[in-house]
Amino acid sequence: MASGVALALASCGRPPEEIVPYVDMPERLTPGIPLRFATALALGGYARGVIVTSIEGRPIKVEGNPRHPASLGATDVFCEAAVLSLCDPDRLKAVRRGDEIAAWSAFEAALLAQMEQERARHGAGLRILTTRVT
Amino acid sequence: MPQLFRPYADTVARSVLVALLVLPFAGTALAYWTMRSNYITGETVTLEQPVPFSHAHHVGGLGLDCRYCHFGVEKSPVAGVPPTRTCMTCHSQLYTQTAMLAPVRESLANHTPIHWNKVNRLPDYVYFDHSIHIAKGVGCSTCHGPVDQMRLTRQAAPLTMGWCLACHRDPAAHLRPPDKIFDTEWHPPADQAEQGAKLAVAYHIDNKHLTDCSVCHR
Repeated sequence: MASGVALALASCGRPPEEIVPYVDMPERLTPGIPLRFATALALGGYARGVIVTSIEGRPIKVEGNPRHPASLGATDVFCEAAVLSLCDPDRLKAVRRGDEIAAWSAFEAALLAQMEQERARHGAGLRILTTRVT
Repeated sequence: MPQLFRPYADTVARSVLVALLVLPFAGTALAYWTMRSNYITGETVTLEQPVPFSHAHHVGGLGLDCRYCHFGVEKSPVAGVPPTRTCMTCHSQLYTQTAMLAPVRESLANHTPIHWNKVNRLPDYVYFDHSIHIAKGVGCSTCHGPVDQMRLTRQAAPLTMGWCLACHRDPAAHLRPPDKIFDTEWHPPADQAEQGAKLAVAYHIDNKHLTDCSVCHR
């Protein structure tokens, strides 16, 4: 009984909370309600029309676009799983050099240095790596 | 040989007996009273903010509608506070050198958001949806008090479960016509009970399930 009274008095009411709004809010976005985008996701170089539902910029569901003639509103396994790649928590949040975080300016400097070398060879050794492009 | 117990020992013994009977009840009563006090509920407490925003100036003085800034209130469960860009719609041209507004200018310049301290806080186990309250005739000042007179924002109601239930049990006493929801000067008229009952019918408010647990605790 006494400990109950003591605990009740010790709970200090409502913990402090912060509201952190956007600086520049994307247009048509209302916090708290989902926004649906018609977009395309690529698989093997081909785009599939999908509708993505996102809340405050975070995609939560990929659905088919009924107006897309190829899928007519259906999705495949890769579409459904694409939510994880859209919002991948393991994705890098900063530029890295090896294992250490570096600045964008360091990246630009390194890139420019490399490009200077390529310029001398007229781009003979330059390759661009992408996923399949059709 | 002196007595083992002095004369006042009787008084001490009686006091301890009385205390043993009274203190549990008094302690419980104190705990209940404390939990309802402003210290715990946060009512009338003005919180420190990064910018001393004055609703009295902007709403009372300039006449801004609530929805100019709290735009999500009619559609979204959260009313929210405006993005920095909303402040800068005016303050890119007015009071552009004031020190008080320096955090706003810095926020826009550095693209870092302003960290406001939430005034009307609810526990995490409560689900509160603003848009349904607006849609069903509960005005802003009914719960948030005379915001147009607040020079600094404070919580105007205890926001305890009992306080919410008092209205959920009988909403008619607090309803207002749809064009008066954002009116800061509205007060219940003398015949509010009758008007409220009519409004409850018009808004399709069904009292039967308003106090179900899952309405708020989802």
